[in-house]
Amino acid sequence: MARTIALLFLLVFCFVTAMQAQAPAPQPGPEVKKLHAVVGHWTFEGEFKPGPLGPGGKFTGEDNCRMILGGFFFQCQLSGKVAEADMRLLEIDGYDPVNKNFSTEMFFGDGSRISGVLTISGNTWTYEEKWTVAGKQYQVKDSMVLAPDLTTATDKQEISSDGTTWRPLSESRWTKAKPAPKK
Amino acid sequence: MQRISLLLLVLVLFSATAMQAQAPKPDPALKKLSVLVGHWTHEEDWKAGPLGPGGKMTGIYDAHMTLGGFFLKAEQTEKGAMGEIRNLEIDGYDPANRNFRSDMYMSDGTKSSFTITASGNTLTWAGTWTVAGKQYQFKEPMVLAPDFMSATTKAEISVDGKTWTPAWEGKWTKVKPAPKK
Repeated sequence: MARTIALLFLLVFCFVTAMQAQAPAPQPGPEVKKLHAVVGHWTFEGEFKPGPLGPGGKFTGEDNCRMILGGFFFQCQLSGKVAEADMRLLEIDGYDPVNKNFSTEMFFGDGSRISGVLTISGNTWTYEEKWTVAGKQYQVKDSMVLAPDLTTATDKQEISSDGTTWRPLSESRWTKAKPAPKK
Repeated sequence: MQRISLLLLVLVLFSATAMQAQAPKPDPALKKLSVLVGHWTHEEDWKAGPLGPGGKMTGIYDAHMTLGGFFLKAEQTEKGAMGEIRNLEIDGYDPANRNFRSDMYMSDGTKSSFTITASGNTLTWAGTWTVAGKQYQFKEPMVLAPDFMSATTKAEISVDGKTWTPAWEGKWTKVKPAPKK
């Protein structure tokens, strides 16, 4: 009996020591799971509205989104065309526990980059960003509403030079074509 | 999943015809970063200190230019005494400050931004590094061999920006060009 207890004690000791020696890898918080809703391969089409920044125009493309780095970050690689010109961007979003929202960064195929804030409420994703175009600063609000089945979405962008008066900038429709290809 | 943004706006603003005639080109300064492109292996000796007890780490680093050559994208995995560390690095040129900006996304959920300055064969990452919720000043010069096939690194960290503590020393070897994706 004493030997059994000693063996059990040894087993427990070894188990506890092993657990302490190999601390568990950090896991993403539950908030990050909100990003999973749009993981997959999307196609989109839309158009810019005529306005002070230009005459407007149609655009189409595709976007591949997946979780990376153990599920802590969300990455999308977008490619498409606007007015026959190529467009490409890389977007990386992650949860900001201090501000309790998501940070978003976009790297563009013209060398520019934008940082912004993403809030997710239900099926609505709202991005808020500051753009500098031709030396002038603008605020942009982008609201994407996902359908209940998470396979389609509509997106509307608004732009303002003073944060008070907002004008429509673009509208687009998104369709999930298939899950993101595994890499 | 983001939507259409700055590039599209610029395209619409300046008209497609003008953009097609004058597509933006990466700044020549980006060639200084392109020496990192390829598949690297490395060994690092982490020093005992604020980051932990230290020990040996080995890893791989795969880097390629992306988004029309305007950015360097690198994925790194390290394993060893400090556990497993993975990160995604996006580096681009900052023409206003005439240096490079490096955004680092880590597998513990943290994100840090650094500047990279290039001087001769030395690339130096510097900035504020967030580790386990704590912020450190960080600098890591990487000295590349003349043929750009190997490099040495010496990283230092500081709590106050005045007193610097060695964090690790590394030896890097370029094994082959990055696999095409």
